[in-house]
Amino acid sequence: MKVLIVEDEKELSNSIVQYLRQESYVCEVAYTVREALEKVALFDYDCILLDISLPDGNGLKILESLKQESKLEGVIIISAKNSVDDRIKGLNLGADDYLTKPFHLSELGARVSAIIRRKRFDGKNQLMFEEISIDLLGKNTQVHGKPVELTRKEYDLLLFLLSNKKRVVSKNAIAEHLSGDEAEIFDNFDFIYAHMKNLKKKLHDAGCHDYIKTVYGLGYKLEA
Amino acid sequence: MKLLIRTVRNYALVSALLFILSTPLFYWAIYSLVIRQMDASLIEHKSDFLEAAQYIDTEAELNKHQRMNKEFSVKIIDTPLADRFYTEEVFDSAKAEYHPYRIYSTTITLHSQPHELRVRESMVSSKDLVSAIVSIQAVLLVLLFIALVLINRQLSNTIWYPFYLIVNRLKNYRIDKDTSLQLPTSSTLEFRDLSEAIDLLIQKNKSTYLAQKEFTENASHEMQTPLAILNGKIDLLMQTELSEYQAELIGSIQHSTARLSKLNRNLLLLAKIDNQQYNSKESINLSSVITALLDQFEEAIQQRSLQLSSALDTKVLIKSNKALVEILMSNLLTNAIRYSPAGSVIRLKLTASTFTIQNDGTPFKNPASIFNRFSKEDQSSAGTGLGLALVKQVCSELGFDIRYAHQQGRHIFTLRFD
Repeated sequence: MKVLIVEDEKELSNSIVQYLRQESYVCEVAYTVREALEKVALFDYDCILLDISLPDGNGLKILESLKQESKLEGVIIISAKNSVDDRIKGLNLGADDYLTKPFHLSELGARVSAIIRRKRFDGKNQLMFEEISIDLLGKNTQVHGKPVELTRKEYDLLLFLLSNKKRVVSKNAIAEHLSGDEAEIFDNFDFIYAHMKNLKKKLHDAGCHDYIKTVYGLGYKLEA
Repeated sequence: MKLLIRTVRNYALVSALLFILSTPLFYWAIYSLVIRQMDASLIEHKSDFLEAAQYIDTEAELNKHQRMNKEFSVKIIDTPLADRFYTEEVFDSAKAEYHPYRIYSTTITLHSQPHELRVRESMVSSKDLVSAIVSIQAVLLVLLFIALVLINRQLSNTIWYPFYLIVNRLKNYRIDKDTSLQLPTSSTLEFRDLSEAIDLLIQKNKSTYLAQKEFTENASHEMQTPLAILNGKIDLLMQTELSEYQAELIGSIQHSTARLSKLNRNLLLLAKIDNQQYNSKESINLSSVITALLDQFEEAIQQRSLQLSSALDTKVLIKSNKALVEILMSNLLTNAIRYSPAGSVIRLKLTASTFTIQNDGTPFKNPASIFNRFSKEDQSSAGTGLGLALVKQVCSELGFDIRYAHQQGRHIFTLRFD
């Protein structure tokens, strides 16, 4: 699976590449609009991460050219501007998602894998991990083929960890993923512990191996 | 005190003084003139008498003349007297009252015998004339004063018009809203100077204000990318082999980065509200906005075992910007949820014109500054210190009014939106 990262901040694009590589994506980087246009003309990508403000122009140009060639890859706009206008403009031009800087790499990972899943499995969107299988359309979870009843938050949590498997996901990232901007309403991460405890218990009761590991002081990691 | 009243008062003072001083002076001046005139006429009467005296030969004839001409009286004297003029009250038997007379006493020689001749003239009519003149003068002075007041008022309405216009414009000027102050161009030099000085001042302030605003926005924008890099590197660092101690350190770094990100987002939001990027208006049902937010916060409310006592009028519709109203309500609710003691009650009330939110808590040390940016009751608190500043900013943008009070151990925020 090929991902193109269009981001002029080298340090940031490097971090994204390193993080996504662990998920065995093939990553390429473009630092300018020109480079990006060349790359999308030559290759097909499963997902493109697109910064809008680039040194030689607006990243939305790339979106326009993709649209003209009807090669609309799953595009995620990553922008320092949290502006509603830009968001609407980007999504109208065919972008699939919009992520505001600064973001957690795990959040980006989850969005990228959601886009790739959607492209790969058109319709029959199923996510498998060992004995766990998730029907992404019906939002049902099964363990050993038997349904497990999860609350929305527990489901979101499991999906988030699965999208970032083999990597440590921080409590901050989980909190923001589950509660969005309202995460700050909680003084601590007790609410995450509660959801995590319930999720683990439900999976365990369904006969699932305990794949979710607590990483002391940081967060959690889902690993086979 | 109004300028008009102040000038008129000064005029009035001076006029009154002038009036008090000038009236006796004027009276005295007129009076002396009249007296001089009379004295001259008395001297003429004397020569008239002397002419007539040539034909008076005997004392009997003289007495007869005296009886016929009451203004003359002649008396034999031993030694000649010096000429003198004086005024005397003489009893008028006909009218039974005293009347002032001007009298000229002189010595004449009749039949080689010195006589004292007294020529007199009534001053009644002259006195009346003097008082008439003085009264007319007094009336004139009063009229003049009234005219002055009227002219002044008229002047203040026309000449001072640009001034009042300038003051009015200044009162309504808001540096964050208005682009320029449309000051009148007066033909009066002073007001033109004033207009120009104010224009200059406003221009300077405006550019300082814009520069500051731009700085906040640019600074927050520029911080987004380094923050993103920092976040990314921390996420990567977390994937490496770490000791417990290192993990703990990274955990707290990440916590601070999250706070910094949130702070920056709020600063950007403030800058955006400043720049009026939220202009669109739509009809909003306030109770459904509040209910939706309460659903979002349900978990936090449960976690803190807070109770909700809400009385929401479900029919309240306002025309406003939805994003801003949501930010406003979200911040008010978040505040109440975060800072209520566990297990306490949050009271919500929505009526056709107000929204009130009450939660338990000890009084703030500095209630006057709670809406200021970065004013935090507890400096160690995880809050950004921008929540209530955002509330205030949104309110001023939407034309709402937000008030804070502390009563019976409860913080009460009242929002008026009509």
